[in-house]
Amino acid sequence: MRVCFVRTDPAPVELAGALEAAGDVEVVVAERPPEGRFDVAIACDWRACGVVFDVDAARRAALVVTLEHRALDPARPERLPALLALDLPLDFLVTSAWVERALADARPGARAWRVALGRPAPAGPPAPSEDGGPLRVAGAAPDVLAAMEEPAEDVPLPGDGASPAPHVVVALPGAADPFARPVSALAPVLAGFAAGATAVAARLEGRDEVVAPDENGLLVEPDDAPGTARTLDRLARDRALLARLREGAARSAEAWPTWEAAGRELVGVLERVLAAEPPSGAPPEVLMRHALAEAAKLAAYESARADTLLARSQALDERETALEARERALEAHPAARAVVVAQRRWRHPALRPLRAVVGRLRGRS
Amino acid sequence: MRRPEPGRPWRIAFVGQEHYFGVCSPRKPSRAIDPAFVDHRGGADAELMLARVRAYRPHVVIVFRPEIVPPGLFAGLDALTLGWNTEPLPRAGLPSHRDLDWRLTELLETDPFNFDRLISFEPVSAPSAEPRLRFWRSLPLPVADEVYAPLRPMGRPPRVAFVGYSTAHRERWLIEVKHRFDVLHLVHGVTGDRLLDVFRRIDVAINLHVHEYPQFENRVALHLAAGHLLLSEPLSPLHGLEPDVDFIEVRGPKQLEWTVEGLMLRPLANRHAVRVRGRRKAEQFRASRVYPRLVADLAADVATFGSPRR
Repeated sequence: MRVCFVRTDPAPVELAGALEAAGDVEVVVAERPPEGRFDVAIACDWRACGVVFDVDAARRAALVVTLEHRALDPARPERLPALLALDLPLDFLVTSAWVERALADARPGARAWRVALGRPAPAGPPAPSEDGGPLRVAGAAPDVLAAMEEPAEDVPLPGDGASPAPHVVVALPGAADPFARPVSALAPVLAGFAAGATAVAARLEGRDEVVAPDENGLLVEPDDAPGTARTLDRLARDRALLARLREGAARSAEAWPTWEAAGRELVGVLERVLAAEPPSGAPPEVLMRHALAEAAKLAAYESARADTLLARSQALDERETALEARERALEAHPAARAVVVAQRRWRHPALRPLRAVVGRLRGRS
Repeated sequence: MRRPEPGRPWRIAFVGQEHYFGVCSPRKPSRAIDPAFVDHRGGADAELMLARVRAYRPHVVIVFRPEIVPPGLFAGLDALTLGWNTEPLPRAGLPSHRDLDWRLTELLETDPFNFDRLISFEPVSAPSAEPRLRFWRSLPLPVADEVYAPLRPMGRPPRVAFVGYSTAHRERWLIEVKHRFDVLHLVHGVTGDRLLDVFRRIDVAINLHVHEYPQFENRVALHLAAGHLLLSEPLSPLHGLEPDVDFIEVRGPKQLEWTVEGLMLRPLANRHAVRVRGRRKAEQFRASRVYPRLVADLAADVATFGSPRR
């Protein structure tokens, strides 16, 4: 089988490596359509979904690790093409139950195939829970760390060369970069579990498929930075709880497939994709409805921005009018004008020493 | 700290104006919690309220609007006490509003030593009450299980309603839409079972802020739980909801008018998915799920960090 992954961000594609390791599969990862005939061409993000149609392939698919249009800020114009990419005649390889359901919501009838994310290999030995040092936290926003009262150390996420390994990984939703490789909401949690860390996560975007509260991690409200900080404080203070959750996390990581197993599973999925009928795209009326709905949203954001600018320019106009009125009033009253001119001259930088002397004299009196 | 015997539920006494907060607390006992509501408002007989609470022998007392409890009243009460701020407050970096200032003044009447922990319905404005009051966490007000309803087929035309008292801000948003379409506006006095009756008869709900300042109204969760398609001004914070995914965000009166017009005139298939997702997302507010978790966390946190109560 020849499989081509098309990406627009040069970051590595783990599933491509896993597929290659599974054997009997020739894998090409490219930023542009590669030469030659492929069995399956897989787009790794919404921007590659158009490029994948330039690849000479029997089947075309998209790897969907998150709903990219939903992860983007609502005012971003990229939401429109990111949504329309889901209407293309593609098979969708989805990496969690949440993504599968969200895809079905966005485009009912889209053909989705579940593929597993592999368990990352731990970079080093897990950090002991009861070492008495600060809680090692990865993935927390600065405001969360600042709100903590117990000692904490900000460490990199596992997989980014993290050393020492974190005690806990924080996984909360955040606005995505429209030009970066999409990352599964589960990825930091799985990486943390594999490195022997527990997780503090929001119950959103499928994180609760992996995080079982009070067994392998703790769940928090998505917008509650102080509450998240307090949860981390509790882990820092209660090392027995931390150790118990980390043990649970390690068990969860053990139960998760390795990248080798994920690669073998992907081979099976791609064979079924090849055996199935080619996928169909969304009907034109659905595609147009999606386009119009997103365009309407963008127009609403744009008009809100225009209203803000208009309000600011009106405020500036009013200020200018008031200044002009003041100027006219000063011209009409020479005595008042003389006072204003004297005040301006008194503030001249050359008179600073004199002002200081006057200030001291006033202070004495 | 008194905990329930193993296998027995936490007995929780909810204190507040039942008129408003009855829909935020569970009514029926479950394996995890055994609730009772003690109706009380600021200025009413606090000793009577305390006697009712004591008679119930709760493990936990949850007070909606902690400022309604006189200073020192809960001293000696053998139960965990949790005060829940339910009112919006001024936000750092944004111009305040006299309504917000007044609410903050009221909240600051709270005796922090009455409560083991304080929580706020949203995290953005909670710091304005510091350092006098420190919030343990922020959590949107839950929704009683009775409010949850299966999705019903939408009426043709759909029945649209707004529940909330009139303000200049709200009327500015509603005036056109009420003139052009049959929009039910419930201004006051419809609560409890009557409110649920109304909820069963409407398909589309509108959510508008009281004044210009942004917030997250409890009404949002109620409508989503009832299976309504929600049209709302931008919410802040979102508490995990996604605009145009779980509810329809409207950014001005004209957009509200056009959206309602679209619902009246055109097929509803494209909005059905939003309704389904909103109803699904509303499960995060379900009282029978939220309170057991909250009470367990409260007990664990107090056990770990102690309590400021006197």
